[in-house]
Amino acid sequence: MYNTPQIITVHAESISLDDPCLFWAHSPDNHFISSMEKYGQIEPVLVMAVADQKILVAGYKRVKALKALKRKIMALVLPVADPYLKGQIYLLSNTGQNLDMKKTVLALRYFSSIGRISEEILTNLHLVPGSKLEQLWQSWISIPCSWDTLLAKGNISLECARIMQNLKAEDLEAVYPFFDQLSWSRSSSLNFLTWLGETARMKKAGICRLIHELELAPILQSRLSPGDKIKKIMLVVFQARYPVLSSLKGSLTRKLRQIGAKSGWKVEHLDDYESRELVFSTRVKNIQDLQKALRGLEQISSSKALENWPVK
Amino acid sequence: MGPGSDTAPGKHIPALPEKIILDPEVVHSPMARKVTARLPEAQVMILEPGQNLCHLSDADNSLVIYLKHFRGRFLRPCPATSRYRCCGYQIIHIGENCPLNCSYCILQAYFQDRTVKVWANQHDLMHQLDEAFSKDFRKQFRVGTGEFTDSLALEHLTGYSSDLVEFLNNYSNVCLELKSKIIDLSWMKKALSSQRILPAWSVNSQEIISAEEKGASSLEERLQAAGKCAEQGFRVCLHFDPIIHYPGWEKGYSRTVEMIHDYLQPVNIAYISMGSFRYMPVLKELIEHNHPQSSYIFNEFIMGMDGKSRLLLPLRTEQFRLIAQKLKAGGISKQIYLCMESDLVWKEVLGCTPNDLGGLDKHLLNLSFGRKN
Ligand code: SF4
Repeated sequence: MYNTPQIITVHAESISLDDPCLFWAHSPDNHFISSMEKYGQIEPVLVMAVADQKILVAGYKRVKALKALKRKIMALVLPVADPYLKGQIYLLSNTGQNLDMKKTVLALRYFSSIGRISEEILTNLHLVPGSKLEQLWQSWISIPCSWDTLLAKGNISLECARIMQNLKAEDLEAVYPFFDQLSWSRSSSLNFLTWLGETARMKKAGICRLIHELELAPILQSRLSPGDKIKKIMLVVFQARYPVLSSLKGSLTRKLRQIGAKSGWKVEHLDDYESRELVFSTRVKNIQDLQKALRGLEQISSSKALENWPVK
Repeated sequence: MGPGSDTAPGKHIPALPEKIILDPEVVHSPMARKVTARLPEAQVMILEPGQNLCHLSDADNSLVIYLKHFRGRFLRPCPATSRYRCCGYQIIHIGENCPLNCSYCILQAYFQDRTVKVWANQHDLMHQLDEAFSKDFRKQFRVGTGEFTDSLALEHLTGYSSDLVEFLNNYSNVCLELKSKIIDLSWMKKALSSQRILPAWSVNSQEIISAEEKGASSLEERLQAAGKCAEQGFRVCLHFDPIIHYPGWEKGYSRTVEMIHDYLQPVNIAYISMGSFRYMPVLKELIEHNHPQSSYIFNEFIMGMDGKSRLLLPLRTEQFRLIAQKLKAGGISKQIYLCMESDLVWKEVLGCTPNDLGGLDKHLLNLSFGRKN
């Protein structure tokens, strides 16, 4: 493609470092600068000549390091290319980099901004075109980029993108502080958004209003630990989404715990009221434990504790 | 007969297909002749051997009827699960997909386009049915066609149910249920006896019918048609399925039961089923996408023991109880059964289990053949 590659040497000041195709650009650390000082520039950076300016398309860290060392820069001059090709060149010259969430989203945002996320780009980002993961990323880049840092920090799961892409701007804004201030597990973040969204649709209200009605902001601002805040928020949202189930579960769990506490048995109901089955479990180390456990069971069966449970 | 004749009242004839696709083997079949004659305006295309159907389907997703040479089993058992009681009837497989557009329809998960397939090699179907039914005439069968399609939605074009009714006149051991949401009674004149054909309608509250069964006949139209069948000596079946929980359901379903009592006497009813809305996870996503106004999918569903989501038990038993109570108040009692429910729910709602009735399949077989249990 490039028949006459030309290597030049230029001052750092004459290279423009502003092209958006440098989507992963970040400044060098001291270690990098020292090694540049020690070994010099081994590889040329890539530039494109536009009028009398050189536009950098790969080698940001090296240019910054050499500039700090007040050294001239060796650059390979490429023919002028469109934003897609510039992005592709940048991507390919950085293939050795570890592709984390932050890098993937930055690259996808760039290519999406120029309206072209080709299969080639996806493959270079280790995304299988048409895969579930690729679809999740496509959904993610449809939501505002203010969310990207929260994704990179691990406060929210990429899988939430499926739900978020259908939320209105004001609803997205309303849930933002919850993810800005708290780091959610995959299942908690999915459940939080799903339950909120579904309750809002059931009540024909916006998420924004629902958050207000459920008084979730005061929980977020409370002095509880982050883990306890999430637990409490989830409980409130679950109660709103499943009012009958949560009240049944609440009273049954209390009752079964009471029974279990006195007997040494853990008593659970696992079928969400689809059956009347209970699971009794205990641990024994020896025959004495076993005898004690049997006495506990007898106690339960002779009491009235389990009459008419759980569905009347 | 032209499209739509013999339907009463003929307000809800599903849209007419714009294209007929044929397998080469069935081009000269009676079914192909009938459908092409009844759809003179439709474009007719013959599928070349090895040619894929999607090449011929329209991008605009208009309605297409595909007359297929079906090579599989025409008679199949109804899918049952070990924890929930199934009604044990057998399905006569006459085609796939439906021109109606009920928001909750499971067929959305199976078929993404609007191509309605009709098995046009009816002689193969009848041959298979004959083999099954004539082996031993003492063995009785309760069969129906409305599992992968609506039994009558294409009747005005295919006359499939009429053909089946005529064919089954010779099998005294078979009772055929024709389950539908539209009105087409053209099959009636082919029945030599009213005893072994059970016209059946899904019933619901009118609010649910208007919102979720777009394109289907109204409740009143269904019950009027059921009344007409009863006048002709047929016993009818009614299916409360899917019962949906929505604000005001008590009033809605009570009104439906009142209307049933207005149009039918208990003696006119072979059986009535009640089934709560249940769904596989994929269906929820499809309903959200295809029917965004349908909010009932956000009710309090839990994962049932068959891997399908179903309404929380106390909520659905409350609905079942109300409907059953109102049906019983009008003298409809023995005919009520529950669709895909556990013994626990049976006991709570009807006070007995299928075992107490000698097994649900046997019980329904008795009811369908008009035997007192
Ligand atoms: S009539 Fe039956 S088969 Fe047809 S769309 Fe409605 S539920 Fe589905």
